[in-house]
Amino acid sequence: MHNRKSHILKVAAIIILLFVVFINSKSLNNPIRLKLLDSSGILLEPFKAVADFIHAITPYSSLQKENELLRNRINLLSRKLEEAKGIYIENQRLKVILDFKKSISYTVVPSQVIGRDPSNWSNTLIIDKGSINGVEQNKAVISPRGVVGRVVEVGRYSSRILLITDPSSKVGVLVQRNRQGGILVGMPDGKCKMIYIALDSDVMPGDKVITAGSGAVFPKDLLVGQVAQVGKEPGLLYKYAIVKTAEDLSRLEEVLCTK
Amino acid sequence: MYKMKRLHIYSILVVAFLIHMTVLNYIEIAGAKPDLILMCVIFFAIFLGPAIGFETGLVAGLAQDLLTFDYFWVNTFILASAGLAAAIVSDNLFRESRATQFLLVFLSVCLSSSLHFFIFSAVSKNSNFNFYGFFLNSVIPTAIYTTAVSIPVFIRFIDMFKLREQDEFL
Repeated sequence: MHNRKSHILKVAAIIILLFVVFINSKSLNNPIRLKLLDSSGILLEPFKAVADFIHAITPYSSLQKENELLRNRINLLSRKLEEAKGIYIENQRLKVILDFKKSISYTVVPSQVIGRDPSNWSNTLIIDKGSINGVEQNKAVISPRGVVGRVVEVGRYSSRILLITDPSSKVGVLVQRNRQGGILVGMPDGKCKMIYIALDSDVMPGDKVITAGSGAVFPKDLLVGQVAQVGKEPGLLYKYAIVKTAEDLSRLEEVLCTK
Repeated sequence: MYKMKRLHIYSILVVAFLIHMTVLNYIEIAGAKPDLILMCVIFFAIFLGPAIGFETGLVAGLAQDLLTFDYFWVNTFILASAGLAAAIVSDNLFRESRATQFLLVFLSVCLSSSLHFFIFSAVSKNSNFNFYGFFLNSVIPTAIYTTAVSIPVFIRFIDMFKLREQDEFL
């Protein structure tokens, strides 16, 4: 019984051996081998995907850490970039102020705007320079683009600037093209109006408005703004012009106080 | 009537002042910026009654007069009157209704700005100001902007200070 079994096993082993030799023979291009190749491909494909997946997730925890690290670094660099952008913009602004300071004949105190008026009616600014820095009351405040206002209150370390758009502000001005004089008054809606323009004057939109220099506050020929609209109030003997200020007074960050 | 601690009331006013004096200009739209201080006074007036409305208006107005370059009593008078008037009007209306609250904010901005205009014109004897232009170009945009800002702010304040009608009256 035992001998019979061992014979069968021997014969089977020989058949399998022959079969393996037969299908592994390079010289033989048999169809069984090709069929086996195809079927093994189909069987192996899902295993390959599983193997790939296992290969991909093996270093997952270290990748996660690296990802977190890189994200933190990106955040840090983005923040630094934003800071650098801010410094660059400030640098450009200060450069303009410095160039302007060199080009004018009078002494100025560069100051930073630190606050604004808490009411919607008045238009004033608070700056970080006071009497200790040489800021004086009733002196003009300018920017490289044009007139800003005048100093109305001076503290030791800070001062208040009345903007030319404030309803209490009045500035003697001229139309640059035809030297037509007038008074620039602030309006409650934050605009400027040039009044007392002679009826026969040919003031037109686009004309530049400059300071007349008639008072002791504003130096002569400083740019104030541009005429945006010309009109005549009914019943009055003069024309008026709405003036768009040269400087955007709501976004001011640095100003120059004249001495 | 609802109740709020004075500490909370004045903390809110201080924050409103700080925002007004620092960053409000950066959110200006077409030259208009919301009147946060008046908006807060109206909120207190609606929910806390005439006494608190008047008190907060008076204190906020006085602070504004001290910090601004305007005729000294004008802001005190206007804000105290606005606080008192809003509280009296809201007493006769359903104050929990959002429409009532926002209508009161809108009307308060319109009336207080107009009153400011007339007082300033009379005191400064300045005849160069055109009320129609001022109302159209400044008052209406400011009132709309303030009302728009008051919508989320009021909702937040109501939730924060639990200013909802209690069940006992039902």
